[in-house]
Amino acid sequence: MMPLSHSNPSTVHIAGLSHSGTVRTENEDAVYWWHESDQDICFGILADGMGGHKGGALASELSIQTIRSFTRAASEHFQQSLEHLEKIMAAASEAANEAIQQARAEQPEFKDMGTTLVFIGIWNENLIILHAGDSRCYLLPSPLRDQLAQSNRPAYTQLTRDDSVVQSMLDEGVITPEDVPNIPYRNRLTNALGIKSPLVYSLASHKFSEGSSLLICSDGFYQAVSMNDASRLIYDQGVNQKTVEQLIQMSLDNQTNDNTSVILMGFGADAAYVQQAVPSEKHNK
Amino acid sequence: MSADSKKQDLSNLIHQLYGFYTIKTLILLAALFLAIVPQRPFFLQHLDDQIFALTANEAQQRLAANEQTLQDERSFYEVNLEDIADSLGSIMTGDIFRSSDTRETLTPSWFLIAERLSLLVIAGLLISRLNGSSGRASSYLILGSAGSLLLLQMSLLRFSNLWLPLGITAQYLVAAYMVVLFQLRFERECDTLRLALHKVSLAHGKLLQEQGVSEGVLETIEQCLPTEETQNLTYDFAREQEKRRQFESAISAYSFLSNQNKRFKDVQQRLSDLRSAEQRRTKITQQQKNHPQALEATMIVSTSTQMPTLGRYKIERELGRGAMGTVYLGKDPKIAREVAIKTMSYKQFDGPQLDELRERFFREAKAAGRLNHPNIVTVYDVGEEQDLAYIAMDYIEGSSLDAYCRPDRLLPVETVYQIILKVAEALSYAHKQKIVHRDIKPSNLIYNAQQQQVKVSDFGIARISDESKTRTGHVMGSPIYMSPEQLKGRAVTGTADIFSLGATFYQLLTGATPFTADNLPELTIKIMSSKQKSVRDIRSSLPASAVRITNKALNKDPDKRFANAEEMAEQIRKALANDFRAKVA
Repeated sequence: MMPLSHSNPSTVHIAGLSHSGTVRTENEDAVYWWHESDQDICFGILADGMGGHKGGALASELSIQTIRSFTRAASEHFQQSLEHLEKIMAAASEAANEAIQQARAEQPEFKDMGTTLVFIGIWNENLIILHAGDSRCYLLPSPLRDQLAQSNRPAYTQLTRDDSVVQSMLDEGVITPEDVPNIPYRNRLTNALGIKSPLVYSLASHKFSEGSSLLICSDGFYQAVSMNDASRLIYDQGVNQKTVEQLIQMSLDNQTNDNTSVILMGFGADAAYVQQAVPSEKHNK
Repeated sequence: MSADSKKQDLSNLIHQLYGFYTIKTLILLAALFLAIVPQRPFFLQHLDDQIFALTANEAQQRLAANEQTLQDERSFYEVNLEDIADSLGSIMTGDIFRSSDTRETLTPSWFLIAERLSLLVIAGLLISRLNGSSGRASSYLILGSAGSLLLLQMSLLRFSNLWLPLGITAQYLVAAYMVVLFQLRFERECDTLRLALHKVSLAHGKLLQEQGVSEGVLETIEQCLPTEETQNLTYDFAREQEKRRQFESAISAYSFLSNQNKRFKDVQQRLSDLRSAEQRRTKITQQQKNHPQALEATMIVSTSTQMPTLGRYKIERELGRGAMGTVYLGKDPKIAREVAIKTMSYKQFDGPQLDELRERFFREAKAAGRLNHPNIVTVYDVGEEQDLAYIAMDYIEGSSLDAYCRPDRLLPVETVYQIILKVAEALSYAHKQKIVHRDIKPSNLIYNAQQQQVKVSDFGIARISDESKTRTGHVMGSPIYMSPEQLKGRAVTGTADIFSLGATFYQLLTGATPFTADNLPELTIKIMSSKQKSVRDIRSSLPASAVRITNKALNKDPDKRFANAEEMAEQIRKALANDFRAKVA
C-alpha cells in the first residue's frame, strides 16, 4: 500500500504497532487505520480493551470492526463538511458501544468487558478526535528547526483528557502528578466504550499545520515512556514504522506491565524529517 | 469418547502381545512349524540321510536308492535302462523289497505323530525348565540326549530294521537350547535391572508419597513392576490426589491402575465417579470462565467422592466468599479443631505479579501468625496448593459487623463504644508489633452478640489481593474506609488503621458512612478533601464524645489523629465512664 495521499499538497503518513508487553500474555489492545480514498478521509483507531480473559481483546476488536464498517458505509454519503464527519464518527462509536453492550448482555463471560477508544478522523486540514477512556493522543507541533536545536524539551500537547479516577483526583488537586504511580486506583476508569448507554465521549476538532504529527497511545505505553523521550525520537526520526518500533521497544525496555500500542500520524511531507512512511493495514504483534 | 477407548484397547492389546514376544515364543513357534508342516526343509533332513547312508545295510540302501529314483522320475522322461535292470534283478533275487518301496516302509505309522509330538514336548520342556541358571549340567544333558537320539536311530535301523528319523528332533533340541542359552544371558541381566529399578522406584514413590509430594509420583510408579505392592501404592497415591482435588492426576493414576488390574478394590467405581465429575466441571468451567473464585468453590464443593482437603485440613463446607476468595470451614484432624480457611486463587494473576503477591501474602500472613490477642483472630497456619494460597485461622461463631451498619439495625451506643474500644486495644497491640491491618472495616470485625466478644480478622492480608489486581482483573474493593494517605498510595502506618476504625465507628453509630458519593472518583476526592458531617447531625442523641472521637480519628492529616490506637482506646474508656457510667476493665 502506498503512502496515504491527502488532498494536495499535504500527505498523511501513518504507522502503528501493538504489543502484548513484558508481563501479559494476551494483547487486549488493537490499532487500525485506513483511508477512504473517494472522500479522502483518513481514519485511525486505538482501542485498549478490558474485562479479563477473552473479553478485553474481544471488546477492542469489536469496536474497531464496528466503527470501520459503519464509517465505510456512512462515508459514501459524506456531505463534505466537518459537522457531518463528526456526526459519522460519533454514530460509528455509538454503534460500537451498542455492539459491546449487546455482547455483554448475551454472554456472561463478557459481562465486564469494555474498551478505551481514540478515534481519529483527518479531512482537509481538519483533525477530529473522539475519545473515551484513558488512551491518549498527543500533538507534536511542526518544529522550527532553530527552536528544536536550542531547546532540550520538545513541545507536545496532550489533546485528550483521561477518563480516570486519577485524572479526577488531579483535577481536584487532592493529589500531585508525582503521586500518580502510587495511587491504588490508578487503573480505574470512569468511562469507556461498552460501559454506559448512551455512550459518553469527548469530541474535539483541531486544525493541523503541515509538519506536525500525532502520537496516539495506550496507557501501557505512556506509563512506561516519558513523553520527552518519545517526542524527541519522533522529531529526530520522523513518522515511519521504524520509529514506531523503537517507541514500542522503549516501553518494553522500561518493563511496561500492560499491553503497549502506538499509532503515529504525520501531516505533510517535510522531507527533512518525514523520511518514509510505511503504513500497513494492521500491525498487531 | 468410544473411538478413543477403542484405540486405547487396541494399544493395550499390542502392548500385551509385545510382552509375549520373547525368545521362548520363537522356540515354541519353531516347534509348531516343524510339527505342522507336512514337508520339512531338505537341509534339515540332511542329517537323517547321512545317518541312513552310514548305517544302512545293502537292502536298506536300496530303499534309499528307490526313493531317489522315485524323486528323479518326476524330473526325467527317459528311464535309465540300468535302473530297470537293477529293479528287475531285485525282483528276481526275491528281495522282500519291491522297487516302489522307500525308507518309509521301515517306519512305523505311529512314529510320524510321535515324532511331532515329541518336538512340542521338547519345546515345552525348554521353555518351562530352562531359566538360564542350569549352566553346564543342562548343556551335558541336552547334548547327551541329542546324541542318544541319534545312536538310538542308528541302532534301530541296524538291528531292528526300523527307520525312525530323529535327526530333526535332535537338531531342534540342540539349536533351540543354544539360542535359549544365548538369549537368557541378556534377559537375566535385564530382569535383574528391572527388578532393581522396581525396588528403587517403589521405595522412591513411597517416600514422595510420605512427604506429600505429588509431582513425579506417577512417573515413578510407572517404572515399577505390576506387583500388588505397586498397585497399593498407586491406589494410595490416587486417593491422596483426589483428596487434594488434583482430579486429573487422580484419574491418570486410577487409569494406570485399572490397566494393570481391572478388579483392584473399587478402582472402576472411583474412575467413573471422577470422570463424570470431571465432565461436570468442564461444563462449569465453560460457563463461569470469568468467575475464578466461583469456579474454585464449585470444584471443592461439588466432588462427593471424597472429603476434600487443603493442606492437612479437611474441608467441611463453604462459609462464604471474601475479597480474596472463598472461605471454608475446615477441620484439623490432628487436634479435631475447627478452623476457618481463607483461600486466595492464583488464577487471576499473571507471572511476575503472582510472584510478588505470593511473597507478600506469606510474609504478611506469617507476621499475623505471631499476633496473640483475645480480640484478634488467631492465625494457625498458612500454606499453598497448586493454584491457591490458604490461611487457616480460628473459627469464630458470630457474624461480621456489617449486619449492624444500617440505621434500622444499629447496636446500642454503649455496645458500639465497647466494641470499638476492644478493636482499638487489639490495634494498639498489633501496631506495637509493627503490624498494620490496612483494611479495618465492619466486615473484618467478627462479633459474637451472646459473648459480647469482637475479634479483628485478616491482619495484613486483606488488601493484598486487591492491590495486586489491575484494571483487567476484578473490581477493587470500595475505598469507603480507606484513609487519604492510602488513597494516595503513600506508606501506611498505624494511623491509617485509626482512620478506618473512625469510619467504622461513625457507621456503627449512625448507619451512614462518613463520605458518600455516586461514583468512585467523587468518593476518593471527598475522602481526601471534604470534612464529614458530624455524627450528631445525623443522630442528635449521641454524646459529644462520639463527635470528638470520630472527628479526631477521621482527620485528613495523620499527625492530627490520635497518636496511636492506645490513645484512642483511652478516650473511649473515658467516654464510657463519663457518658454511660460504665465500668471499664
